Amino acid sequence: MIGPRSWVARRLLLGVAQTAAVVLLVFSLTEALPGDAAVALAGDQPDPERIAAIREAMHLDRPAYERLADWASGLLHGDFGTSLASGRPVSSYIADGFGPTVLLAVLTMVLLVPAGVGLGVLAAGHEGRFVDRLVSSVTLGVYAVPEFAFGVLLVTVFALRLGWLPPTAVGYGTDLLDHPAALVLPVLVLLSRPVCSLARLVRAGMIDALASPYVAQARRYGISGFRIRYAHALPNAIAPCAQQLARTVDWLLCGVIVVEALYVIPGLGTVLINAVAERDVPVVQGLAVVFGLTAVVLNLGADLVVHRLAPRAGVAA
Amino acid sequence: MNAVAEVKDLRVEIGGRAIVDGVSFQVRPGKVTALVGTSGSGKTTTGLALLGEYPAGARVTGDVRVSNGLVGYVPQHPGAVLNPARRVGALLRDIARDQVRRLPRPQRRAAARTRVLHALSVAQLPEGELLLRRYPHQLSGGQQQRAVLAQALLLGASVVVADEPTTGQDALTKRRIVDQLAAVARQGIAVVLLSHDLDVVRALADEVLVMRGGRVVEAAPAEQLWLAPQHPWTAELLAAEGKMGDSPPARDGQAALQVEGLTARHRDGARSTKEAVHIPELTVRSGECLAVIGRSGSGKTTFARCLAGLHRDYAGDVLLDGVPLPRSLRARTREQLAAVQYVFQDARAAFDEHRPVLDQVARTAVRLRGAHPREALAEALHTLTGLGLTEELALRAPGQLSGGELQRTALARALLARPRVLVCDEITAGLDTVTRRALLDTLAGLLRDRPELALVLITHDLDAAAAAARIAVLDAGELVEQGPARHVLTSPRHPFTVSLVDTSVRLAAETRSRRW
Amino acid sequence: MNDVPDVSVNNSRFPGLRRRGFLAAAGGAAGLGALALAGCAGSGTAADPAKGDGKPKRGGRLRAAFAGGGASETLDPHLANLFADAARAKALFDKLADYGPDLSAQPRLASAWEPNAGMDRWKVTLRKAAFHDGKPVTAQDVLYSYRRIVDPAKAFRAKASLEPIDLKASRALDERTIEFVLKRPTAEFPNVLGAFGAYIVPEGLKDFDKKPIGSGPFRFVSFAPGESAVFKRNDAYWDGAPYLDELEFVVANEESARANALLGGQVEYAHELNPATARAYENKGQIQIVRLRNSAMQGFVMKTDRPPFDDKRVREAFFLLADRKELLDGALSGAGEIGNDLFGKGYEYYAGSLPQREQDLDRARKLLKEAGAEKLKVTLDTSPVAAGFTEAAAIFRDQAAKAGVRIEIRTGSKDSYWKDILDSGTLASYRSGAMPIESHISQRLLTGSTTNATHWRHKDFDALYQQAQSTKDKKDRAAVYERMQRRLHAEGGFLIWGFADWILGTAHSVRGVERKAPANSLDWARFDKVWLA
Repeated sequence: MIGPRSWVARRLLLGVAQTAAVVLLVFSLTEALPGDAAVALAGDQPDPERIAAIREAMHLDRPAYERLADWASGLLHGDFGTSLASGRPVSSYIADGFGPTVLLAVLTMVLLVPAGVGLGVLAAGHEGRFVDRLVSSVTLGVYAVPEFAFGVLLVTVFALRLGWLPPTAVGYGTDLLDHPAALVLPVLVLLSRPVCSLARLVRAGMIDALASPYVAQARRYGISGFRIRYAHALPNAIAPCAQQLARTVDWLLCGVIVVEALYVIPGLGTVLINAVAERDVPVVQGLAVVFGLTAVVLNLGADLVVHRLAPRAGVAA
Repeated sequence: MNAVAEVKDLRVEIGGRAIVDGVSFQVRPGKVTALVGTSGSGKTTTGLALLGEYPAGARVTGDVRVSNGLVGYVPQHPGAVLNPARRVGALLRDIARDQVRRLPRPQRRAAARTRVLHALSVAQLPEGELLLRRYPHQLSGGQQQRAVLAQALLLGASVVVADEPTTGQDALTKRRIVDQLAAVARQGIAVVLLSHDLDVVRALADEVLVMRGGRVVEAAPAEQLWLAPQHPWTAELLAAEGKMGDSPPARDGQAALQVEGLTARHRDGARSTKEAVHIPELTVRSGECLAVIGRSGSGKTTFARCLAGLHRDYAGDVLLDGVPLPRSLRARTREQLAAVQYVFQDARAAFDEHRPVLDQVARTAVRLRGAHPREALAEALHTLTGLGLTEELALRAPGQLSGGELQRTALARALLARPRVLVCDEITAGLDTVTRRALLDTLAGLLRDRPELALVLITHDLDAAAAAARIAVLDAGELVEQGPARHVLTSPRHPFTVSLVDTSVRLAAETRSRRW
Repeated sequence: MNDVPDVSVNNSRFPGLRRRGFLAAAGGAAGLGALALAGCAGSGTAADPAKGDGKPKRGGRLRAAFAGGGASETLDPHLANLFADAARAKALFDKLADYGPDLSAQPRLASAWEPNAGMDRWKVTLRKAAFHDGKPVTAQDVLYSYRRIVDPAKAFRAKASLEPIDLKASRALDERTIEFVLKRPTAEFPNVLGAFGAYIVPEGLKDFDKKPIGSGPFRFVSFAPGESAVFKRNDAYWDGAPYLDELEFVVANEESARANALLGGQVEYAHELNPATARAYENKGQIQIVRLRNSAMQGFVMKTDRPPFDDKRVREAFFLLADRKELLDGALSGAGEIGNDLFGKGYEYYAGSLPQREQDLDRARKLLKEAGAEKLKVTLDTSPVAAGFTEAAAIFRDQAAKAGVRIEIRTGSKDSYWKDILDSGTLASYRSGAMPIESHISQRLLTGSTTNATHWRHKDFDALYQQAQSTKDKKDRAAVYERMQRRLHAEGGFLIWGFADWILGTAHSVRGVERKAPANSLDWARFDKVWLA
């Protein structure tokens, strides 16, 4: 086996290749959709002359591979291109959408990890008894509820009936942090399912760890229950969680469109949906690059964390 | 002298069956008390009872008392009680932290550190400071054991229960462990030794209790036991550890396996490679048993794994009947896989705990020889009965078989592939003398019945090696000596072999000298 | 290497498209279409605020939620395509004319217009009005705006509407008078002046997103594309300063988000709600529901140039297959009125005297038999691009089955639907916004029409249209329109089964919202006459 540094380098190189493949795939799929940006822009006034004029001005009359090659060469110079619909640089679209998405992602993760781990440890510590059964059934139930249903439920109860929280973040797009009350419901919706799966994962790992000989040894020697759970058992239970968390972060960073649409938060999901509908290929491509790289980096990070947490994981022959 | 621990009329029942039946004894400070018996005799349960731990669902009657309530535990596989995801010092620090609680806060950290380092040095880990920052898998077996011992010492235990501490160790290591435990006893700590290695018991124990079927059949000071065993079972035990029998003459069969210029490497986690084994030339002939001996960590297992295709990071060739074998298992053909079979040391871990062993044994024939399942089952049964296992046992799950039975089952599984070469890695380790004797006899029988079979026996036990035709000695990865068994054992040339043979002789002699 | 266009100068922007919400909200209205609809000419009526609403009060900030276009939005009024764009443009800018509740042209920046005898030269007089920077609105500005719109290098939406004007020949007679020279007689020229997107901007204005200077009732404060736009009162507005201090447009593409924001007090005006939402909250006391009648035409288009619909008997049979009430109730949840296969119910020149068609399956079967199309099998193209499309298609299929006609529904892509059905297929779902009947005819029913979805190309019909356009007298014109509509009623390609309400929601404190204002008419989304109680 090769040392860690070159392993990381290899993974990153592979990641670049993977992202390139994603971009190519996304490009082909977008091109394969019926209609193009000109048609989409013409909308319900499909005046053929108008469509032709738009198409020419957008350079859409050039063949697909030429456009892709142009865009790719621009990308190598750090230029993401310009939107077909508005003429603004794609990087500004991505930058604008990134802020709200990252904010939601950070808030969700900051709450997710303690809540999920705490619930899992709690359930494992009372395995088989009432608390464990309660936690297990509640997490299973909440996990089964799709995000949009949960979101609608929360809005109806907390915003409309009780009036405790604002129902949407409408109009706050640029300064969400100034209106923290509007972030409560979206973050709750984003948390709902990941916290359940994380708790169950932690619980399973903890149950195994708590039954292990090394925990038995610690117990024998009088170590307090708290330390046993968090300092001795938990480090063994959370290795699989690293990969689950990486997937969750990836999901969050790509903009969860359901939450963004329901709560009117202009994040990357909204940018992507709008761009696809407008067949705004440069924006879609730019987002594909960002999403692809994010996935690569996060998975690499998760693997590094797992390696650190379970350092004797090796491969046979 | 007052007892630090006392067991009175202990009875542990599971499902109506008594695993421990009316056991009583006392443990005195600074003395070593040994519980001896085969697997299933109840010694482990008794030892754990001192810790206050009983099997799940057991009905316990009787009285177990420990003076200050602190009992240390060194298990058979010390690595199992070291947390794989934390550094070695984790538990040590936690124990120390509890102990310095009464000190004012600024002094706590330094005081805890001092305590930990002290315990490590008493446990004969002078470089303990460095070790604390490593992970358990980065420590050798011996270091792990000493680290676990340090935990017990740090705790301030008045009794340390050592469960089979010398299993699977070569004579030199055994010597060291014996010294270590003796040192612990000298500190005034009582040691309860659970073992079926009579050499060690003889070297270390002050008082011996022989257990069988949950009962103490004989309890006496060590010398008295050896000189004049009262109970017939004790006598049988002592007899079984005698000479293993003459080694057969070296046959001149054709060379089944040839090793040429083998240099195996280990990639250390941190970028560097370490040469683990270097063997310029070695030959195993059909119908012959080659024993590969050496200390733990000398590369015997690495070498065996190279032969079997489990370690592919090596240079050089391994030739089977003149044809080089692919380095990795995955690259070998089915016939090549069947030709070289490997029997692992830990038989219990090598089986699927849920399926009956008969099915698992038969599977080899199905997968490696393409046999029809029904024929494979019949052949499996035949082989198992040939190795001394009944059909009723064969239908059980592995959890219901004893260590010796399981090891024989593993052998049968390997044999079902009709191999040319059988590599047995420490298969007698952890077995009591009686079972060990039976297994070695079985191996000898195999060689007689299958003249084309070549046997490579990896072991640290010189008595087992004595039963082989040829011996190869590995020291720190180098092949230092090889030749017919009798020559190597009686007139070793290389200094390492000399020391190895000497130590085991001394160990035996010392105990013999204790008899009078 | 890509040249990054300078946004402020070379605005290679193109009109946005209709936005639809991502989630299908409850209530069956899938794929909400914030469909912006072109209009042409019309007269405006001054909205009469006092309708039991009390006395107007000055002050306050009104937040209005619209479905928007995302980050590609702009404040350039000539690029307006969505309702949100139109509402914003209406707040900042003015047109020369706009459409009243019956879609007739009402004077706005133009105070009067006068044709010559041949109806091909019009003298338009501007009223006294000033832009936000104090400069007066002049004829030069008008000509600049119109020339910008028809610039062949761009593709502004109103270009097609301004096509009758020969801008090279048109000129400013003085500061506030323009003589428009037209390519042919156009009696309905005022409709052109009120065309969708034909806003008047100051000469030379380039940076619309940072400093949009218009003559409208509100001034620019800030704009974040896809999120919000804030305007404040223009005290010098020629039609009377607005009551509101500030007006904020916020964008929310999901209908449920708009409704929730309104219910939660985050906005005071929510545009485009579903019939289900309206039913749930109408008269319940939390919010006010405003229904704008006759806002959108709903129907099917039949291609009259290919079988089976090239035979007018088949077309008439299809007219008779439809149970219009059932379609209205099923597809629009009853929020609207039934149609009579004629565009523009309730608008100026509508042929209301023609009898309302009823479902008549026997006669339909007879007609089909006569045409030799007894076991007719037809493919109906539809798509969730507009509310009610897929539901109406399914209902119509079942209705047709009763007469032995087998309709197979083919659902197409939302994003290219309008282009797809323009030339391909034989029968498709259709919808149109409010516009004068004359615009409907010129855009869709002439040989040279650009969006002729029924492929209705008849020289004699064209001639009738020319005739109407050359007729000075209004009553005579009306008679020609009636003749044209009679023909369309009998054998046209448009099966118009209903007119949908456009549903708004407002908070109770909002007053002055005009109820008789089909979407895109003058009084629709007209915030200068709105006040907060």
